[in-house]
Amino acid sequence: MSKKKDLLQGTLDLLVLRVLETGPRHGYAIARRIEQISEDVLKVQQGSIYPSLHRLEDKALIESEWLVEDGKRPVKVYTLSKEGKAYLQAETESWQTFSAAVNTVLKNA
Amino acid sequence: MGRLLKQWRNRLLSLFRDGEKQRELELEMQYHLEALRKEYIQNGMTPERAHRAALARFGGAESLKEECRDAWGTRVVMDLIRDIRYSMRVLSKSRAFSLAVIATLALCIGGNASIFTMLNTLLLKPLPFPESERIVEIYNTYPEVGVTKDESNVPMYLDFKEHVEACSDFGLIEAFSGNIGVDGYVERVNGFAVTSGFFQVLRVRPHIGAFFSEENMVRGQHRVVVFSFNYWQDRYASDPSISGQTVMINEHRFEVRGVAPRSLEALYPNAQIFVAYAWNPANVDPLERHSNDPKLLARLKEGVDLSVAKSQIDARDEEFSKNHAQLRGVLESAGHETKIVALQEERVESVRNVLYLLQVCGLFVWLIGCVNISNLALTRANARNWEFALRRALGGRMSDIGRQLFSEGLLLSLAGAGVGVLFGLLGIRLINTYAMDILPPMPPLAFGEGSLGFMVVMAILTGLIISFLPTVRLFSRNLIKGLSESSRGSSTNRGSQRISSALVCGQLSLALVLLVGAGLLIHSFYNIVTRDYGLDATNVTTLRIPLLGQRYQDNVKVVQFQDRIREIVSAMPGVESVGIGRDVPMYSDYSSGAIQYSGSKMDPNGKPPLAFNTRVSPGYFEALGIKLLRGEVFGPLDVAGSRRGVVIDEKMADLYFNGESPIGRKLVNDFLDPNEEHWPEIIGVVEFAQHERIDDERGYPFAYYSIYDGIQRSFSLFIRSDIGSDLLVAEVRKRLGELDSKLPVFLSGPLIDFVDESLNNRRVIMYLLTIFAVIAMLLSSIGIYGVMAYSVSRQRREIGTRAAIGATRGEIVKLFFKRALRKTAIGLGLGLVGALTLSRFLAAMLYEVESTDFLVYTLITVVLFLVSLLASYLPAMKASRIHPMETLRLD
Repeated sequence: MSKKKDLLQGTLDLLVLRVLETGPRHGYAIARRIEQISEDVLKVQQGSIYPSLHRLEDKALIESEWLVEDGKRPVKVYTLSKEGKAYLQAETESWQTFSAAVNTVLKNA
Repeated sequence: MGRLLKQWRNRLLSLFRDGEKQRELELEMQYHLEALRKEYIQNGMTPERAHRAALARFGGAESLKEECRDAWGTRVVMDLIRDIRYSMRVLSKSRAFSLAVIATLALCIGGNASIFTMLNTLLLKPLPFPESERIVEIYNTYPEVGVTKDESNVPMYLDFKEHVEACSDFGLIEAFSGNIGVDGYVERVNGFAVTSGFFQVLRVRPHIGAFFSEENMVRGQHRVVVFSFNYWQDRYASDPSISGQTVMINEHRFEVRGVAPRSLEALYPNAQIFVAYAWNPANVDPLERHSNDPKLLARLKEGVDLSVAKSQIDARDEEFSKNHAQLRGVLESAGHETKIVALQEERVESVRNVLYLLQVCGLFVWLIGCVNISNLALTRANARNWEFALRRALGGRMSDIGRQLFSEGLLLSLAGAGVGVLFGLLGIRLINTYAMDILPPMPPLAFGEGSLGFMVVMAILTGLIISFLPTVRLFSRNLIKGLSESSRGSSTNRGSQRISSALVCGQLSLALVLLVGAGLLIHSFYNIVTRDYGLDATNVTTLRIPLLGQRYQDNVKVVQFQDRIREIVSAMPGVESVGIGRDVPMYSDYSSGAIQYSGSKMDPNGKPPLAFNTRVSPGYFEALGIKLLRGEVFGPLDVAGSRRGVVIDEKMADLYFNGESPIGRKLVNDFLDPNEEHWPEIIGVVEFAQHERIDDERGYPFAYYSIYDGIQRSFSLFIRSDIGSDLLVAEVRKRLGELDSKLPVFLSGPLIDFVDESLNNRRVIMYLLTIFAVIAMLLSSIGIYGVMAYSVSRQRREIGTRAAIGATRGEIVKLFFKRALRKTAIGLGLGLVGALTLSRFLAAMLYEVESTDFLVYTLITVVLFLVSLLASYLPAMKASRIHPMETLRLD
């Protein structure tokens, strides 16, 4: 796996977690939300959130549940776990520190 | 619930529903695509276009599915980590069990690793020279006269160098020691005299400067020296400008040519200097072809087989034999053959079997250790029945539980190996301190990557072995049923009881084999130290003096010195007697060979008579307590040179003079000189005294020639006195200093120490084997105890019932004893068969003990029997104390 891909994956994971922080969602909703809040800057193929979701689930950062409503297709809904919340917070902080540092360098170097 | 635990649960569950997960993924993605399609249709697209747009927006579904599956794939690694975490928790809960296992394994694996380090360094690793397998040694053998390995000589070297085309380089090497003058004081140095080709044979380059050239091989141009790396480092502080300097060796000026590379230490770890091996070309007498002193090394040409070289050498021997018909008969009757063998093979020949034997014994102990742990683990697995049943009931797969057992086993064995490194290092240190004498010359052992690899392999094997049985047991029964079972049930455990019993039997037999081996060696050792070897070494102090240099060029000076020093020392207070000898008993290699005496004949097989010999002065026999039986020993007549006498021992008198008095007959240790006029005359017969290694057979007869009959420049003093050795040596040194301040003294100390040291070889092997055997015995008695104690605890109810219906305590003890007895009897029986089969391999190391020695076998069997009974006594007593009320107790 290339470094670049790793980076992308890590970023996507973070975005997914952030979206789930606002409440449980299914895959389609998560993809839409990411597109919306990034004002269509991050135009990823929507399907690529699925590896991310499965990875996060494997790490127990998110949990999933099949929701069956009468007369509708069953849908898999993801929820941020307690561990996921803590992880997101830690990652957000470190991401902010990192990007701030990069910005400083870009501005002042 | 912590994240890890959740994760653990998730994975445990997902493990069992691979197919389901695939379907779910499919559904999930379909839902998404459907949603996208609806979105596009709402935006006014036709269903067909919307479908295509949705697919494009979503991306390659198949590859994404693959990626998702990859995300689960990390599971394999994660599972392992999880297993280990869980194992650690389980193991840390049963701390006593874990510690016992780790300690046992550390000992077993560490011990084996140190033996392996020795084995690997000596036998498995090649010598550190380029294409070292092509380095060969060539030497004379005379098997018919008892000489299976002799050395070689200059005529052979010159002949083969010219005519044996299978080899590219030849080199002679012979031990050399001398007195080297450093900054005004004299030091004794040891090393080798080598020809210029020697370094070429090994393909080594000088660390500094140069080696010898061909012209240094001629006497007169030979005063050049090469320092060993170590000596240069220690004495010359790695002086880079050493080449070209001069040093005084044996009072001659030598030019320092250079410094040898470090790699030479692999073969000659103790060499300090290398001097040129020189001879006088004009004086090379082809007849000297059988006066063997230096070793002859050579390098086989590339692609040439040893057998080719051998046939070329044979051809040269044939040629020599043709040209020297006078020697032909003698050489033939001696069975002369020139051998050529790979140097490495030859070097390790003497220790190969011993090292493999030790390793096998070490592995035996390890196996016993593993069996013990298997037993313990089996017991634990039974106790954990409930845990496993619960996991199974919750949907855990058997393979998962099995993997858990294996990861516990591996964790334990790796921890054991980890701690074992310490034991391994300790073992290596012990070998470096105590076993160097019995090994071929080599630098101290070090724990290298080979040893580490060995430990890792052993750890993994151990892990597999100790988790194998519990896992097999796990699969061989219905776990769920375990849930409904009482924790004290006994019926389902019959199987594991049987396995445990079988293991205990196996353990006992392994222990018996080891104990018998150790017992045989101890018996041999006892036989050796209690034998009457004819010398009275107590209260004898010895020290060696080399008279080298120009002052003693004149033979008369040597004789005068020897006379003077005997006079001085015998006049010292407290000295009973003093003598001089060429060799040091139990230390030197005594020369041996064919002899002639008045009326001697070849024996019916055409072999000449043989004898060992040495050279001694008056006072020698008194100082060493060798009693005179007939005639007389050396006296002033011999010193003055007015007679040429020889003293023989009773063995020779009996063997060669069958009852007739040998006194007055002539004897010579030379099978070529036919003129009896030249031979010394037998003046006395002394009792038999062992001079060669103490554990040698009471082999050949012995002859003592006079040290004054010929010149002996390097000799030892033997002083019988009640005064302590240290004081005596110091005093003699002082007196010597008054005679000649430049004389070094070496090989000094109590003679009994030399006797003692000559047994180091046996002692080391005996100690090691004894340690192994004792550990084996302890481990197997623990094994018996464990199994018995466990079976008592499993059968409380049965015992309670017996007690309730009237069994006495004695009867219950008897019942359990009987069971233990059966296991012990089977184990010991198998062990005896094994020991009888395997002890044959020890035969070479035994001394006046048969490998089927009745005493040893009986003693060991009885001891092991008692130990095993003792180990079952405690559980049996415990059983007898079980109260009948147990029957009523419900679990």
